[in-house]
Amino acid sequence: MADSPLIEARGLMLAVGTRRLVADFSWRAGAGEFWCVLGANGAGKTTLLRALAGLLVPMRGEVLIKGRPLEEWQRHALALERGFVAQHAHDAFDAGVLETALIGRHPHLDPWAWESKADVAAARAVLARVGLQGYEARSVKTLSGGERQRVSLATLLLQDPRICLLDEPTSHQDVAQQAAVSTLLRALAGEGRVVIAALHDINLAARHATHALLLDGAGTVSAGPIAQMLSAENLSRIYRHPMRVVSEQGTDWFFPQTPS
Amino acid sequence: MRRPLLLWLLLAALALAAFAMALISGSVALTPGAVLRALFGGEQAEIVLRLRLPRALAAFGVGGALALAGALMQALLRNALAEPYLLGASGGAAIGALLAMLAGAALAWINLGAAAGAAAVMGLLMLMARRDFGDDIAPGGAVRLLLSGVALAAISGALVALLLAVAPEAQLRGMLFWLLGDLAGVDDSRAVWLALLAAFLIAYPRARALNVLARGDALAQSLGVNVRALRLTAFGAASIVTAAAVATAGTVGFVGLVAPHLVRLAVGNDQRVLLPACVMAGGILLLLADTVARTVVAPLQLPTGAVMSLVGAPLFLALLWRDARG
Repeated sequence: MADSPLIEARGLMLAVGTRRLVADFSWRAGAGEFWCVLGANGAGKTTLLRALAGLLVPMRGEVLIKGRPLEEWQRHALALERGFVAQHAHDAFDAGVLETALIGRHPHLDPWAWESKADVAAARAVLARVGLQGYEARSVKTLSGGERQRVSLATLLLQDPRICLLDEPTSHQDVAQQAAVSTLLRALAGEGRVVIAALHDINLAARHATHALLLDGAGTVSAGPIAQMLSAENLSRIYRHPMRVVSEQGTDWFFPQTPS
Repeated sequence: MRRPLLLWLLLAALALAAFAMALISGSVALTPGAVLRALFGGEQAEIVLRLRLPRALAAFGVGGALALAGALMQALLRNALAEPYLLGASGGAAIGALLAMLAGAALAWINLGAAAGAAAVMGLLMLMARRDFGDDIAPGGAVRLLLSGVALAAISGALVALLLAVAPEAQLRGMLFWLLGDLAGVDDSRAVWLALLAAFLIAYPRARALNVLARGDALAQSLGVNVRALRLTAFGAASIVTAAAVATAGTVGFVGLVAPHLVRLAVGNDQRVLLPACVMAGGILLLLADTVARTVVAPLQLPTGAVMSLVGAPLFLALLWRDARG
């Protein structure tokens, strides 16, 4: 890696209750990389992403953002560097799509400032980028799950961090939107960011991600370039289910084996 | 993103109209001209300046304070049900005030007792929920806090019933009126206005952060909001206004619930618009309710709190069901 890493984990240990999900995990990622996080349900994808985002304190080890440990960062300065999209958005009260996307400008505005015309224009552009053009005035409570997820993506784009952490951003998307969101994430990495996203669709990950983190749910996290990481053997291990690879014109496709 | 100026002007005009109505109406009906002359020391100055204006100011201040407390608690708990009355603050205030009355204390002590009771319940609530105020709210934390408030309100209600049962006959009427929320005889509302100003100055600079918090803790944290500090501050501000309001007027329900809902329906949930609009709307609502309370069956005076609930609850129901059908 030529550049210094944007985000780095050192000896990270994470547990939920008495289950140790990640043990002694050390890893680094830099600009231009799109890391997909793969693992079975409950393997610790969300926990790992939250720890990397600084939303939970690891049992052991530390996370460094641009070489500085998380605890040394001011909340506000950190918000300009890393963003996190949770699996579910919580809308306690109704609000418009544009208004909800503009929430992402919060760390960029002075305490007394209101969103400027430029912010609103940026929000419209970003909504178009996630395929929500014409949704500006819609109420978030009338959106489908996939549409709401893309509003969250728009919020992240307006926050404009260099480190983007996303928890299953494609889980509620239809096939076309899954591809569109994955392409967008790849493009974000191409803009000099690092993207780390939990995904469920291995083939989508294989097409778009540059690197992969595989969680086996028993403490081991393996990391590396996507082509090396995605193998029937590795995937069978982390999903605890036999997986098949079908190669077609140089492209590998991964399928769970079904009893026939 | 900005059109609240017009809204604020509209609310200010409505507030002025409500004040005008309050100063004109009463056992001695005055013309608007006479009220204006009285304000500058004319012949009816006694009625207007010594009786009606102080009471109108108290009603507006208390209404605004309770509405602000309701709006803050709703944003904080992400629950449209939250308000000081429901969370037990008013119940705590009632215990404090009734105890002071039983002891035969002077008015100032009764007010202080009420403020202390409200503050005690809010403090207790904050203590119980201290973990849920943290950066990483436990699942159901907000609901737990709300339910804790409801339980504390039930306990306070039971204690109030006990106090009423043992109270001497002669004090019952005074106690009852206090419990129903009464603005008769209130001539000093400086405490509630001061508290309102303080709480507003604390809350308003945090309005945009409250907007972020309404979208979930994880998002708020990743956007740089100190979730724990924000919750504590907003809860503290809500407690200050609640204590001052109940100390001034007794337990006035519903304005803390209705005003934020009304405003939210009209202007949405941007706290930067909502908080000031709530203060105005709450003030207007209670001032109107109080004007009705003291004039509708004059010379008899009805308790303000009862009139507020009587008018407020059906209004709330209408909004609720209109919303459900919409």
